[in-house]
Amino acid sequence: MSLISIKFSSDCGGKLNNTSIELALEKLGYDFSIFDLDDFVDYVAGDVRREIIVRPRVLEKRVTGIWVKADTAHYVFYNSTLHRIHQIHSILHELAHIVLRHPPKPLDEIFSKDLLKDYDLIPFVGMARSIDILQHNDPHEVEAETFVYTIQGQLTAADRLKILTGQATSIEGFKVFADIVGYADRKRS
Amino acid sequence: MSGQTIAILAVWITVGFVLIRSTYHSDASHHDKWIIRLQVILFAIAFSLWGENTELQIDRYFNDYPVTLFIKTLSLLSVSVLYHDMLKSIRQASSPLRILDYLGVFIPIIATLAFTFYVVTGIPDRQSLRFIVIGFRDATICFFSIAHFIPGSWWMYKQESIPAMKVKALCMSACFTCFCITAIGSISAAGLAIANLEGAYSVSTALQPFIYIAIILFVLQLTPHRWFSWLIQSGRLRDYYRLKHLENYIANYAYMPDMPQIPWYDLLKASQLELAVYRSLIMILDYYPLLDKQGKAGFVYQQLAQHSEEAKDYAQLIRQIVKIRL
Repeated sequence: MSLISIKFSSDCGGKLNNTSIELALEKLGYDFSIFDLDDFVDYVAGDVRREIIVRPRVLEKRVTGIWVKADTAHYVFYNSTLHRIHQIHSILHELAHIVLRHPPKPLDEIFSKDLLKDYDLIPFVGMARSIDILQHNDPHEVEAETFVYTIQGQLTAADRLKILTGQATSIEGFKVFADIVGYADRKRS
Repeated sequence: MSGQTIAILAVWITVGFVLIRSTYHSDASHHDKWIIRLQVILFAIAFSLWGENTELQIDRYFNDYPVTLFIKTLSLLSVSVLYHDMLKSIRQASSPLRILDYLGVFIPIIATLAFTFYVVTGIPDRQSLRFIVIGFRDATICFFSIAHFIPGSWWMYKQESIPAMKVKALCMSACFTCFCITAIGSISAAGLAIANLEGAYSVSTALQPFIYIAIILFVLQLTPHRWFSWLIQSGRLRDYYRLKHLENYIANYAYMPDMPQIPWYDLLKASQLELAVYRSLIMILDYYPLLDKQGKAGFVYQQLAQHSEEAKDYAQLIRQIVKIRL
């Protein structure tokens, strides 16, 4: 699957088209209006019927995340030295491989033996998100990346709604007054 | 229908909106609701009684005593005291100057005593009295503004992370600043009246255009967020193009695989623009480690590494990165 053939939906919060990614998300059935990362990890674990353990690791800057398919669980390692938003993106990228059922590769095809030893990942299979791998345009990596952007499209649409209909101010002491004046509509339960 | 009548109607419609909202759509406490209600009602009363002609027309029914001026003065000073209390509550802090708390108690007493004194003694020069009362009123509100309202609004602007509320905090800061500028005229007129010198009227009206700006800003900050969305959108578009410029700079040092681009017309939609900003940021964070570590590229690398480490959240990271100049 080449990059050009992947259709990026310009209306991620609306009507679905026939890409494999959006079909996979529809099948997953997760409500992104209440997205929480830990909750999403648990949800995917339930979907694939295998525990998913997310852990920080000190990795070099070029490597943002690693998925390891072990015997009893999936492991997602994210680079603890990165900014939180970058970490979340990498975690979602690795989760995408799991959701999209991408076949894992022997990790010694991705990393050198020395690096694998440093990361304590011998002799597992999985996938990794790194600059070198992204630059190779591997179809599964492109698909995983597009999966994350599709999720983010749904999240930004939901966030936009939240800004308009939810929290009026981030200043705690001002919230009650902002609500009285009606700065942002509030959904009443 | 005159411009002033239309403006008065607009202010009362806004008051009506706030009253309905506070009555039927808010779970706030009785006390908090009344702080807001009183401020908007008193402001609307003072605004409705604007102008010397209005004062003369109404005072006819009160034996030509300056009742209207008294009501306006008391209303505006009370709004200041209420806003001062509200701002303390918002900031969860005590008053920046203790005297501001005492003014809240003494102002109504002083104003009432002064009015009673006028009624009893019958000071003949009504025009001079008017300049002196307005000058005293504006000086007091100016004192509140400089001591608390302007720094308080600026504090809210700094603390706030919701873009629309940041705009409103700026509106309030600008509103009080415009008022203080107008107050220079009225305080100077009061000085001239006390000194029995000519020119008080000219001085009092010279800076009056600023009060119209202040009123517009005051009403604007009462409006719902979505009315500001166009302003926020244009600022976000600027952020996107700055990120894209940085992304293209990094592409000179690193091969970046092409990702499907969001069409320019889709960038006019807020959610699509936000997604475009996010995507550009991720590309920058992914590939900046490939920048040269020397020279200008090295400087950009260091800036990105620093911001990536220090920015406490996504919003701050974007704010810091878009400031990087190439």
